[in-house]
Amino acid sequence: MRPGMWLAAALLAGACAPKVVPWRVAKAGPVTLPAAQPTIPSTPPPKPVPKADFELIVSETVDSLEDDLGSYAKVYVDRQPAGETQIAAKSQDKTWEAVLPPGNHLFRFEEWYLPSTGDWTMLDPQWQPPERFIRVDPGQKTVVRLRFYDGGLRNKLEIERRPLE
Amino acid sequence: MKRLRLLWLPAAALLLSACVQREKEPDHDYGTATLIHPGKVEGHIETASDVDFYRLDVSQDAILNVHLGGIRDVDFVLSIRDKDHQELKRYDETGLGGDEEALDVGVHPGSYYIVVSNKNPDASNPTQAYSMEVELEKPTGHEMEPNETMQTASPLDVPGVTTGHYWPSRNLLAGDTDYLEQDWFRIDVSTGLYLLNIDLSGVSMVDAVMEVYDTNGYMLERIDQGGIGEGESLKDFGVRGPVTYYLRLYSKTGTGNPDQAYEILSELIPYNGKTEFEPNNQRPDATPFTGDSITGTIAPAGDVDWYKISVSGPGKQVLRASVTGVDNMELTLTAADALGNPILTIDNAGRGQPQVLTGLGVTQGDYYLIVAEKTGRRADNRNPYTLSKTITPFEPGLEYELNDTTATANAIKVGSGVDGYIGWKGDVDVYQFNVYQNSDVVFELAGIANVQFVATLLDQDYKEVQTWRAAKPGDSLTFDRSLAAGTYYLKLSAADPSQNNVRDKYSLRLRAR
Repeated sequence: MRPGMWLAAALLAGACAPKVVPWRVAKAGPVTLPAAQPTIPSTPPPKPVPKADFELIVSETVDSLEDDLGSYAKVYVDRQPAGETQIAAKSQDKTWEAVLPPGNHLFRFEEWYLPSTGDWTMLDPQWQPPERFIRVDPGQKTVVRLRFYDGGLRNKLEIERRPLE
Repeated sequence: MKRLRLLWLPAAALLLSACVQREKEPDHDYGTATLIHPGKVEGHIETASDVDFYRLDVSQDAILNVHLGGIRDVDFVLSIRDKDHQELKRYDETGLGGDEEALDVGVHPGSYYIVVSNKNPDASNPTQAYSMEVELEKPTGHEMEPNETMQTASPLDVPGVTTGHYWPSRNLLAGDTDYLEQDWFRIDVSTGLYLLNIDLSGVSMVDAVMEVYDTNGYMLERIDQGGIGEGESLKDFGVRGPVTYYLRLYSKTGTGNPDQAYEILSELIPYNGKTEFEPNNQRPDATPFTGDSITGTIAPAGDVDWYKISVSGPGKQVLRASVTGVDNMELTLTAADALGNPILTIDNAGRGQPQVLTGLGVTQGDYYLIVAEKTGRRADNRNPYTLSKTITPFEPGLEYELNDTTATANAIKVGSGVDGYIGWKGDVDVYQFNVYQNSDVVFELAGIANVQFVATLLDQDYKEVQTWRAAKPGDSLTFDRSLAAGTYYLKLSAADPSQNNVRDKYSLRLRAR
């Protein structure tokens, strides 16, 4: 075969060979991460109270993660400050237990919020649950579940009694 | 002179014969069609299979009408075709000896063909001339056939009057739609918010239906209130321009009427926020209700009108609303939450009577008021209702609905009181109060017309303690009970769930003796 033909063949093979197209890599632009969820302050759940005959569980239904900020509830029994729940996100159960003498006690629960900016704020009194009597019976544990919803504008209180363990 | 008089008659006959155009055989195809102009034409059906082609050259947009007089033995079929020989309309409304009529055919500059044929194979009337009147008129304010589809819709002048006919009674070229004759009109709206009103006149022998479509072919409204010979009406149809809508008309019973035209009277009114903005039949389309009052109509039957109310401000507020009555209709008024879930429906009064929402506790956010006709079978687009509302800050000492359960009870104190309403059928008002030390508590409830009070006292475990009942409607109720310290609930209701009073508030007072 003449050299010219070899050259032609090589050229033809080169022309017919699959072409390698350089892969163009786009330069990465700046990446915007979503805003970090504010750190919700929290305190450890209170230690279980031995032989507690009263328990309060407070939580809230929230519409979005952005609304699920810190909250806690103060407890007043017979017009005296009796304690408060731990601090946690609104949607988390926050508890308070006590040993109370049997009888009909006057309770007031006061909900507090930590907004995204600023200091702790008490829920406006017009939206707080009204004070009310709740009976503690001997040999029984009174469990009160207090749920807030609609941005804290509404609440529901349920009372349950279980045999004391 | 006498000679001149003698010449009158033949001259007149000659003149007259010159005004009548005559068929020129052979004229059995497009190439040999007899050229005619608007006016009278005469021809013959020489044999049963004879077909006569006529060509009409049009110089500007117009409406073509053709009237073909019947002759003995012949069952005419009249066809209108364009320059491309495309058949535009076909008319075969009558039998032997009957006339045929082409109406409202839209034509543009160019040639058109009028084709006359016979359907009776036994026809034998070669000597009797048939007479055909061909007329062109200006197209302004006319439907332009064929307009059987959205794509071929005639433009509708808005505002203005457009005429047309339910004719022919069957569209012989629409076998795929069961030969339904329908008229489509296109409505182009420029930028802005408007209310579209359309009045369609009645035509004897025709039970018309009017429908409104968007450009996707989605039917937005169907109006069929009137019967045979009666018109239809679309009122306060909200349009956001720029947009195109389509109107579809047809005869529900398949009857036509060439002798009486329908008229479409249309107007486009800039929207001022004082009337409903249809369609508002569901939550996403609710009409914003920002003022004190707004008017609307229930039409067509089954219409439901949604209105959106936005409550601003952080505290408790009270929404009051009322809707005026409409003759022969029983309206209902429903309040719904931001998701459209009904909170409360007011249906206290009967036909023609107003409905009143005495008060609903609301907070910042969106609510809806929904007006509907109870049976879903009545409509009246001539007599509007007026929906009114007020939103005021809540004042202590007033009821805050809904308070119909122990979970939603309003808190009151012994030594104070509250004013409220038994505001709708089945209304129950629950109040929560504390007794801080063993006391004899006195309850005083002032009577209101039409309501025989029933008061039930519950303890903090929701167990019934005692029930008291007024002697008769309108009577006040006073009772007392020794109570130990604790939380109690007082439930107020009417002895008969149908009792209510939207005019007068009751007054409840608690005191310790």
